[in-house]
Amino acid sequence: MNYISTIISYNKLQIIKSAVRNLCLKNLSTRQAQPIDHKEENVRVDKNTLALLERLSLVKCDSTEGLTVLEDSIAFANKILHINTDNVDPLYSVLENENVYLRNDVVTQGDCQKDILKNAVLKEDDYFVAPPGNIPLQEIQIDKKEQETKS
Amino acid sequence: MNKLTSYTIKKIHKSYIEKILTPTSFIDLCLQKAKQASELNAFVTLTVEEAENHGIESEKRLYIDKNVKPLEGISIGIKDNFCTKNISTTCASNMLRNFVPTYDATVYSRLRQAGACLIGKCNLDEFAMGSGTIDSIFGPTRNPWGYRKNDDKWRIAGGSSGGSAVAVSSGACVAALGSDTGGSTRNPAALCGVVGLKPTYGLVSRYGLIPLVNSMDVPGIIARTVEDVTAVLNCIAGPDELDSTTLKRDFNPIVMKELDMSKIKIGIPKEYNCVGMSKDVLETWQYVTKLLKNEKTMIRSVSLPNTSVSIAVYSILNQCEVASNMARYDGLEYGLRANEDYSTEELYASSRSQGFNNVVRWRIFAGNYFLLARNYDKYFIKALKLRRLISNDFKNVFNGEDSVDLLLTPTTLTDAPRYEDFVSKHNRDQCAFQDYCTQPANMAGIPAVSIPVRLSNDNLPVSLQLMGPCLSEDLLLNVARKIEQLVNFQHTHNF
Amino acid sequence: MKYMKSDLFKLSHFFRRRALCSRYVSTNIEKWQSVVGLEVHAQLNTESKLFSGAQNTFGGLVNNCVSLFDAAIPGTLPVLNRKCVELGIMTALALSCKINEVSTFDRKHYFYADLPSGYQITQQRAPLASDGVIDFQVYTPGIHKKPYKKSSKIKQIQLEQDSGKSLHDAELKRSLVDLNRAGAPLIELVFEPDLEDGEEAAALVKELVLVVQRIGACSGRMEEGALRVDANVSIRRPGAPLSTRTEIKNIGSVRGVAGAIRHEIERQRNILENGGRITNETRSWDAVNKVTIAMRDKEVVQDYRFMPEPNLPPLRVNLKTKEDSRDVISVPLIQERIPELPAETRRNLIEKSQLRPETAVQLVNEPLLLKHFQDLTLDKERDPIKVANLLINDLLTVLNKCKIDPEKCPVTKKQLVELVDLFLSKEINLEVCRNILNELVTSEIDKDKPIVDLVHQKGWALVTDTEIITQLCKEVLDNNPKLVKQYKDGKTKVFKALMGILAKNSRSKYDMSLVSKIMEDLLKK
Repeated sequence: MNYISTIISYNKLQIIKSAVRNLCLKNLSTRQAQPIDHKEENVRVDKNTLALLERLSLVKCDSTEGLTVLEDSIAFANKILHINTDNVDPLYSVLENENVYLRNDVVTQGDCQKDILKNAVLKEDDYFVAPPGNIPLQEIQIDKKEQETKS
Repeated sequence: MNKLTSYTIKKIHKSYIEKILTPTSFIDLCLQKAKQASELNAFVTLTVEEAENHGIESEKRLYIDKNVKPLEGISIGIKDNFCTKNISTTCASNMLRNFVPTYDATVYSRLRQAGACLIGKCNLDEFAMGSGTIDSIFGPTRNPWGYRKNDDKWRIAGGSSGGSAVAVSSGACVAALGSDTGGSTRNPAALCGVVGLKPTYGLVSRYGLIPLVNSMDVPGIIARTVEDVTAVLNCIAGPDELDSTTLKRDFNPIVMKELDMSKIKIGIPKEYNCVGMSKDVLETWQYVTKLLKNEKTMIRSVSLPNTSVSIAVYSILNQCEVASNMARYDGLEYGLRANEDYSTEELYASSRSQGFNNVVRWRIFAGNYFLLARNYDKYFIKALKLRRLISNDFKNVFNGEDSVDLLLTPTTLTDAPRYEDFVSKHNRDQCAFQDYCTQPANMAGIPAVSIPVRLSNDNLPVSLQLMGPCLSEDLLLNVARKIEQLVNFQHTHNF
Repeated sequence: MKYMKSDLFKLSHFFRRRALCSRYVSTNIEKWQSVVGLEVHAQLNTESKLFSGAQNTFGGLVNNCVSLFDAAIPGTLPVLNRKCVELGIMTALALSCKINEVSTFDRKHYFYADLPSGYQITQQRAPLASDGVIDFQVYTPGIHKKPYKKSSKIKQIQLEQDSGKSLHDAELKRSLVDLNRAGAPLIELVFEPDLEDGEEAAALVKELVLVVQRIGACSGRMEEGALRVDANVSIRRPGAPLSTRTEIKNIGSVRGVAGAIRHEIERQRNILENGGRITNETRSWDAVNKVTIAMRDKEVVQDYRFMPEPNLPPLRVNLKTKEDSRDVISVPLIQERIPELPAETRRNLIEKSQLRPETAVQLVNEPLLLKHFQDLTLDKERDPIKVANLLINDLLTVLNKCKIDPEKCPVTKKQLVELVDLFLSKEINLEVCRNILNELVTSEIDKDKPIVDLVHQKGWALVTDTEIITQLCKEVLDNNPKLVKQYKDGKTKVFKALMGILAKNSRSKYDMSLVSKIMEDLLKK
């Protein structure tokens, strides 16, 4: 406990400083983000990881700004890595000592096709409509480029 | 002075019975107020037709059936991340701008069953991510305190349930529901001078609450008095079969009673006195401590050593759950759908990029980074271990030899910042701290209530927070009420 | 003899097995060893889905057996179906697994049109059960001379959600999505890679199908997708570590399991022997052309980012006592409810009914025929071996030839009872039996019409009248004096010829063992 207190008080300012930067950033959506100095942490995310994250997140990220914010989040998270947690179990849920509720096997829901389809922008004959699947994003960029050069 | 802000549930019901006021006329007054206060931008949707119908139903029950439900004819606002059947529910995001749920959130249907009347859906930060209610596609919500028409120097309402807090603070609603993940109900309540309760995790159903962090979210209650907050809690708390994270134990309604304060032990955690806390806040903290000492309450200094780690842990867990919870927004079954039809991946990426603001998108990215197989143990599991330490800190102070019954801390570190300061880079320090005192309670799942105490030097509300062990709402709210009586806070903004 | 009889037996068994395997692996058996590991998904047979109260059925209106939760409507939450847990536990117990006292749920993230929430709820970290074993008999008539015992270890059994279905419209370049199946309950069984070939895999799957059918956990119908098998196949030098494997999906039948794996082993062997390398990929079984085809890869690199499902507290079960409560299921109580399993039935058939192992295996493999067997041998003192043989050697052959699923056998119990009794009382012989079975299966015979009528109609009644037979024998002997003389001179082999002449010349059916006896007697005179 004492060890933790020492570490914490020492890092307090650093943590708070980074927290300030990060949490304020989240409110700057309508303004241009200012460049952040992260001299004390040298966090770099490589291209492959970034590409992987783009594929896994399926959100287009404004590459320079997005990368900066990501690296900053990681730097912020890195502060806790060296805190001693030996012999501590993860707290997955505050309800870890409760038992999950078991429902009886009876049909109580469904039979509401209209409700299910109500908010869908595109439907056909009561199906949801999706484009063809499983074409990785990178292929799309290449294909589109080809289309552009052709036309 | 704003007359509506002096109304409490008890007073209103008395007026109904004495026929000084009727539900329909009262609801009308509230709707008028909401319209008059529209520049505060507390509401995303004013549900005029529903409000009027609900008022009529209440009136019928009152005068014809002679049946007075606990919240009969009481005006309420619901944060726009709770699903309301056939009423638009947007989460202040382009992604759900046109989403109309086909079902009611459990808390809303319980309020309706108790006779409450819906004035409107309240503004919030997009998907509840923020502590200012300025990241909404519908524009920011403004604090009625210190507000002058056409003045650029207005104050933020706090967030992410700013709309709900302003709805109550302005008098348009008697009570409102918010959600609280890291302080999102208590923070705006504090900045707007109203009472904000974060119940024990598992006490109130989350069915129908569009989630931010499933393991920490709770529906929050905002009202002008502790008694009114309690009345609302009594109507919505208790197990729900549709939510497996509700505690399957009967809930006993809480009764307001006189307490012998000399039997109560209150802890003052020293780590909550942190850099950046304003003088007003510190002095208010000391002021109430003194008031309690006068009542012979035992006051003790305690330690919650892992407090300062809490923000970093919270940000990791928050981002990971966001990445997961947002995975469903692809435009196929609901939500914004882009026009791409080349491939599913392209459609998803476009819809999600158009539908989400920066904040949401960056959190998804970061969350997925921490959840990568190679990073899972390093960050996610690590954060969960620290979460246990934080939770244990509370357990340690509430149990054992030198234990205390409740903790008294500030809610926010300052009074309501100006909008221009909140978003400017020079005063970035301000916004980071806003969650400092509130989010540890979410990590541990314990209940916490914010009570307005007095005004700062800038004539803005300053509040304090009480925290207690799990399921201690009875003691928590009764002590809160005691403090409320002792400080006698007045709603003096002239809006 | 210095060597123990059992050693010799083991050795010969070993060589025999090796010889059998050699039909399907290269002649240089010692060069390559094939390794097969299975993953099986079984749809649980419950009224409602795993985490929602929507109906668990696949017929009906599109997108109608879908609750708000199944469509991932925001704000909805999972609620666990008790019956799914019970069936999962029962299946695990039947497969000798260890039930975990506490299990939890996780989210497995990936994007796909038929997965509305962007993640599947499964149990990766702490599953319902682990460390089990399935014992089964490997026996394919025509491939194996005799059944042999094989085991496969089960790594874990977990509950998880099924996905919806997408119909691909290539012409309009789009997919149509139906979520009726989304959220339906599955158990996944993960087996260790301890099988050697397609026949073993097929036998495992068959055994698994029988087990889940008997428990009532799953219909086992692979053709309907109720039970899905993915096979992981690799080959290596004996003694070497496991090498690159391919995953085969889209196998629609038990025989398909054998065929797909056999083909894949062959394909890999060819590649390696020609100096190529195997790529770790997913392949699809094309049952028509009997080949595996590479599927377009979902992602080159995939990371499912498993995360605990925060909306479900831990699932706890009572391992010790029979005390059952709403949220804590008693495992001993479930253990009691497990019905007789295939292995025990086979044992009983061998020990009590004296059936040969291969007959027992085949009979247990065909539940409907097994039921007929049990009904037939229950009532009277009918010879079980003869009844079993009739069902397996004769009826099953006819059904297979006509490509009729034995589970849908059109012959009724009443018809079988009559047929069997006619046969056992020797009113008809085996050949007639086969003819009758053929008629019953292929023609539109009135099910209430007595078999005996059919017999007489076709003139198939077996003659057992000794006078008539004696007369017939005398005729044959009189007409073939040369053969008679040869027989009396010591050439006993011509007896067969005499029998043959009699059989050929007569239109009616005779009890040939009686004929043989009478003929012999006459010749002695």
